[in-house]
Amino acid sequence: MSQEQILAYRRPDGSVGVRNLVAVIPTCGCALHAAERIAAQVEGAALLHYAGGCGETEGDTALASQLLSQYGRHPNVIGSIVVSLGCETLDAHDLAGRIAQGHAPSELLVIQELGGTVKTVTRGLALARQMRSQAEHLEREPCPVSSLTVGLECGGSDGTSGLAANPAMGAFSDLMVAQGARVILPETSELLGAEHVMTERAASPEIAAQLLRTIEECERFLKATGEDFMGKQPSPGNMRGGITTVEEKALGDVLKGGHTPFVEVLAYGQAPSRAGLSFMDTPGNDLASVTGLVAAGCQIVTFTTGRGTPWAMPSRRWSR
Amino acid sequence: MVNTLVIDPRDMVGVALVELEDGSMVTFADMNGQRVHALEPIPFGHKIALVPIAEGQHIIKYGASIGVAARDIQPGEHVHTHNLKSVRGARQ
Repeated sequence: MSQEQILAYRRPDGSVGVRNLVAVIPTCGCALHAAERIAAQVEGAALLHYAGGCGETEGDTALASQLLSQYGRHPNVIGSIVVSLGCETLDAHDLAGRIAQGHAPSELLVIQELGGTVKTVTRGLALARQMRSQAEHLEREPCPVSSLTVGLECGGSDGTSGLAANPAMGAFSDLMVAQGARVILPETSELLGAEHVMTERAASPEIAAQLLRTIEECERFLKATGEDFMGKQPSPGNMRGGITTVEEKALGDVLKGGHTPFVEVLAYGQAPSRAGLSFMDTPGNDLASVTGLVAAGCQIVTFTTGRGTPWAMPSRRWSR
Repeated sequence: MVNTLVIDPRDMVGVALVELEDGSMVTFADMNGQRVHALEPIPFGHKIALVPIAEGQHIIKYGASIGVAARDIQPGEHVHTHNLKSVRGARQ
């Protein structure tokens, strides 16, 4: 197959973006309002809706900081505005510094140092507009499809999802893999019941073992909640639609990943290290799942739906 | 007119693309002369057996097992919770 090209923006670090977004990143719930007001008033600005930053476990704060820095360095981003209150646990200076090591600049606004919300928003608006105007001269140029990382997501499934939309996405996945792109299938809980197919498709025995471990860990976690997750699969609506067993439901979902082997198992938000189809360990919740896909560098996330999925989070604009 | 979808050539069941009436002829791509009539009404999106399936046999859809036949199934029968059981310990 010939090497196909897409029109996209080449970044100084060699990565390729399909959007020119300014990321507005609050480092705690207290800074969220100011960040929202900045993002809402600038075309091309995207709010990273984050409300943690204090009163969490160290592990949660570290993971959030890591993911936010990956967003700031995302190829679809041309600059970041980090909005901090000034007394939160999450280290805003460290976060802004790590973002600035990527291909795009970052600016840190500390509400307590600037003298309040109004002054912070005014300063943030000026910075965001400046970043956007500097991006106006950027032109799309032909870039190989192999420079893309693509996420595969579905939500609000109906009886036709496993018959039409997901097989179509699977065919797309196969085409992207043939072009040397990185493709990521997420959502561990959706795979419970498809272990027999997942392990057959693993590129090596090690990857098969890793897939099984990831699925088993997910099932252990679900059991630890005291609820019988597997006993409730498929849902009554699934059954009315004609789906009989959890295996059948899971296979309809795995179809999204097409027919190529799994070459890597990724932790949540981890970027793939090689071309081909990877699996990412994420929750089954679409918003949480897509957040992990975009953090891993997906410039595009494809999304199939049967009943409609009208959510509007920034990553939709990031990655649509 | 095609009224049934067979997703993988290895599949033992098809999926009704319309409500199949009792006695109606099942038509799908690549039938290779296979003749199956619905033995009962099959709702849209539900499965119909295309081959004889013995009790205990794995039922193949999407080219893989979706569970085990709970009893013998004739071509043309509705395949659902009454004659197909999960092997993953699901509801039923």
